[in-house]
Amino acid sequence: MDLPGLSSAGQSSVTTTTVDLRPETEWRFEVGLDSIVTLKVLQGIAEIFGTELAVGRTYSFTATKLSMFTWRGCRFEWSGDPMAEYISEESVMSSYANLHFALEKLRMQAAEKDAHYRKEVMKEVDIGQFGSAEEGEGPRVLIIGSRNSGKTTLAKILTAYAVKMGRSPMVVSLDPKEGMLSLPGTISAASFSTMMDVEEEESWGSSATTGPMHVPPKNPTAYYFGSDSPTDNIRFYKSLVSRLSIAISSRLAMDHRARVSGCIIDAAGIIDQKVGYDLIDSIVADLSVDVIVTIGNERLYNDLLKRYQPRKQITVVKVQRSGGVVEHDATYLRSIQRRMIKQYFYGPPKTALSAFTITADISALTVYKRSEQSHLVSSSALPIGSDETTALLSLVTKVEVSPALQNAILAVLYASAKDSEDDIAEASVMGFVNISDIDETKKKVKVLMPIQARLPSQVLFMGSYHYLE
Amino acid sequence: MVSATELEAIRQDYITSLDDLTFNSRPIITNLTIIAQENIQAAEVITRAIEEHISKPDDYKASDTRKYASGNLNNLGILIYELLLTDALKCAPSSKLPALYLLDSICKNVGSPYTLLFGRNLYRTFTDAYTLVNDGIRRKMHELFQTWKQPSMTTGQSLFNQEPLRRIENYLMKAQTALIELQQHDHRQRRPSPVAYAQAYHQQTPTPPQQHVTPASHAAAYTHGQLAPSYTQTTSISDPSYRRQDSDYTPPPVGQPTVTTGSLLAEISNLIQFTSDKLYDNPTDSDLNTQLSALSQLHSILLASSLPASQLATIKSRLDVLSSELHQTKKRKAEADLLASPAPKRAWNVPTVVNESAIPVWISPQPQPPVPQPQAFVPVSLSSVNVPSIQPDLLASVVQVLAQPQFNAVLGTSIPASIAPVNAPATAPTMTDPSALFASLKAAGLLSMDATTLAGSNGSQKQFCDTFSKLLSPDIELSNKFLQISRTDLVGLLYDSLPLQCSTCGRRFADTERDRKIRDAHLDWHFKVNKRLREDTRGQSRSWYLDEESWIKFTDGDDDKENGGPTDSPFQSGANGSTAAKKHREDVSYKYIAAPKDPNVINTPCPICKEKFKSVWNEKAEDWVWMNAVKAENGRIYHATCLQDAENVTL
Repeated sequence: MDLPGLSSAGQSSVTTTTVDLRPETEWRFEVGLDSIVTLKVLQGIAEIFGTELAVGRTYSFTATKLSMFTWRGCRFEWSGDPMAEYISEESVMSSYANLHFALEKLRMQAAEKDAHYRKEVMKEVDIGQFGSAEEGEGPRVLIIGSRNSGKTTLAKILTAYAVKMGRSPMVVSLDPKEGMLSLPGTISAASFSTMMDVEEEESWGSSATTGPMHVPPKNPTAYYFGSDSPTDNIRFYKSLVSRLSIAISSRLAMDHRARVSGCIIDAAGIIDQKVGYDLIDSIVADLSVDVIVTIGNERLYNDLLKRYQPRKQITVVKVQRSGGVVEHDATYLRSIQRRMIKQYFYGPPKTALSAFTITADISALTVYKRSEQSHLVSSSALPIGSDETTALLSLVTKVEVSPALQNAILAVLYASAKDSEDDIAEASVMGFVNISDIDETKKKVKVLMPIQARLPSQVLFMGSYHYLE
Repeated sequence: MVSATELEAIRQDYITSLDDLTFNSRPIITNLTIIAQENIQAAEVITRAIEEHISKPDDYKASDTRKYASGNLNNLGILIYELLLTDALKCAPSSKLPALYLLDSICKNVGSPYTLLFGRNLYRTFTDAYTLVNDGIRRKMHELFQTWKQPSMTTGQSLFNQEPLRRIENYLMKAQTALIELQQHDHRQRRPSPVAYAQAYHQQTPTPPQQHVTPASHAAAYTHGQLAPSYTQTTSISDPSYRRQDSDYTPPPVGQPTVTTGSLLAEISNLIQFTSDKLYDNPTDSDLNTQLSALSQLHSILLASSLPASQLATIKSRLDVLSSELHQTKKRKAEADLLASPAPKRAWNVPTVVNESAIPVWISPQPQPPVPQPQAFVPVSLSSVNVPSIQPDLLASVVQVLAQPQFNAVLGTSIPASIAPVNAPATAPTMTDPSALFASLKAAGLLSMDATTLAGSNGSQKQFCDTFSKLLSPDIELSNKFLQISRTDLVGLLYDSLPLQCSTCGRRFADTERDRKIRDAHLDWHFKVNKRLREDTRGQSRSWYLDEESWIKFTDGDDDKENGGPTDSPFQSGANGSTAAKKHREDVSYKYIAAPKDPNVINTPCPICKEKFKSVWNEKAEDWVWMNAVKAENGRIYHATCLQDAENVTL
């Protein structure tokens, strides 16, 4: 049933197709939710979103749309039942790679400047006269484009190449519907110093578990927005981005490798002039962005060029949109999100995880949600000096535990019920639980927990996501 | 079970065979290895025979080994182990090497328990032998030792424990330093010994360039004691040092070893550089492309396998022709550049010393100041021994490409086509076959010490920078213009510059000392994870994320150790996934108790995870211990981490 691939793997004789991929072409394939495509590189070098595949190892994919690219040609074999598969000769990889090399040059210059990095990471003994006490900062790249323009793909490629060259870029995902390394509804950041797991959900990899994993886990910090689009509550979204930015800046001050490697920021696909540009402005300011990459939108590029190029420290460049980008319709997005939630609790097929259901008193739960977006409090509409008004309108609101919470995904925040609403509004995420049942008469609630522990006393935060097993 | 008579026969056999092993004989070593393998199960009965044998009074070491061998080491393994030890120490210096090869063969082919047994006394065995033998054998021992350090491709671990290896490495480094000092002291007298060793050693070791151009600068720091300056280099031709170097150029002395993998690699690197420079000018030239990929393939083949000297010589003769072309072109270019830009201009940290000829990697030592700094070994070619499966036909095809007419045309020379013998035995040693092992040892013997070099601590950094200094070319910039052009030549930075690759996950590593260490740790990590996944039946769960403060303080490790080694799941159940908690857990897992003697206790598993404990030798305690173990108040023995987990849950 819902066990991906079990049905198709069992039946149907396996036919294996061997393909020779010519240099600088890519094989694009889409795999449905219930099927598996396996893939093995026989010869040559092939990569999925910049992450190289080991020759001779069988990779398997479910519920995904990927492309495997080769710079110098490769031979591979695949089997399974893809929804679509074809070879494309049109590829934007060359410009994406050049973008990487240009960024790598900036990283090298940052590394050269950074005495801490050279001393503590490269273990250089003699720093010489070039080593100043200064901290070199790698490029902070913001990737902007419309929805489905391949922003995340570009971010993955840039990340994979940077990691390959020994960097540890800080990857920042500001698109709540993606929920990088976390669940949908979050914005998150993690430094990548090890290979990404191309088989994992959305090929970023996986967050840590209590045991060993075949691909090193990534350690994200996450903030819970609670729904897909920043426009659902711009004020709350901006507040979370600011909070995340503070955490990132603090981390980069201490983490020399990550600092020198810079940031790769995947923005949400909101680019309209009214809200989008305002959002971009605040992200650029919060995260000290110095490189803006626009994908496949000439007008956006020119607007941003006009807006930021005069400020000398920000470079705006453009790249083409890949023809391989697939439109994600709403249904597809929901099913992917559902799968992400499932894998958070139960793991991907290759690493099964245990989740636990516990029963608790309703009174033990403290649940908040973000306040409704009030058009009155759009900051520009407020008269100057009206702090009092904004202070009164908290970003978060307490929620009574009611049957409305049935099947809800709740974020567990690093905040206690005693904390102020302001603290709760900017607390980071500890994990997620799922309310599987509420019994109002007995005042009991059944909670699906990712690990075996008591119900955390922390504040739970409700978003718009539900999960029914 | 084996009868006592049989065991006695084995013992006698072994002694006899060992007596025969006075020269490097493959059949004898193979044979003794097989005996060792076949009799691994013969246990207690043999012990008595061993004890009789090692109680021979003439060897004080024997009593030492016997002490180690007490307790639960009672099997034929010990017999052979001790026989060998005694043999290695007793035998005439010339037969020490074969005995060490046998030790090596048994450990590599049979593995545990021999690795464990030999490992414990390895440092003494090795260094004692080292002091007694002559220089030629010392070099072989260096090479042998390098193979020990390489992690096995199948297990991801080095042959022996890190501890003895580290001590031996220190020892070798110190010995080398001492010899060099000695050599500086009386190099003019040219006495045969022990200076001869240092001399011989030095002649095959790339000496630091003698022209230190700008001593105070960072760039100059790189030129210090680096690996063959010709290795990978973007030459800054406009630098005045170029001319000085040119005039001071010393030809290689006659009678030196001429072809080694290391020298070939350096040469190929230069050619690659040269070709890609050319390609840069004519990006559409497909011949150049073919040539470049052929060269880089040849490079990786040489890196990954050991070829007999004759083949190296064949390849070298081809490359020499190409190199001379390179030489010419560089010279012309340099002259042109000097004319064009009289004002010397230094590129960012590009090494200023230009090694203008690719060939003499072993530039004559002329032992005189500047004095090399304390060195680290940078094994280059020996890394090859464990790299599996290079197809002989691949090599042949590459060399064929190199011999193709258009290739010659490009470089304006012709190459003889007699390349056939090259495709012979590109050995891919496997660790299960004694003969393959032997081949690898033999191959290691071919690779002489030019692989080992005097490198300052920033040698690897320099190499890295050299390779990537391509990126510093001014046309690479963050601009729409650059993003739109096709620069497939840069793609090599993603692959060819990182020639070492993990076969499990495809991760790549540069061929530098630093990266090799990272690679070793990485392979180690794979091994541990796999082992743990196999053994760990407890299942796992998603961890909580780090809290803000812990996340800010968290740094990813250089390698994967941080994220899931055997002792360090950084995140435990509960909300305390902080680094402090992780640290605590590491402390916990390093708890140990002396391994109990009571057989009942020995076979009692940890009450929590139901896994048995394993005895390991602990150097500090000088005893067999159970790691990660604690004795609880109820007298039962638990895994320290299990107990801690249990306490956390019940808290």
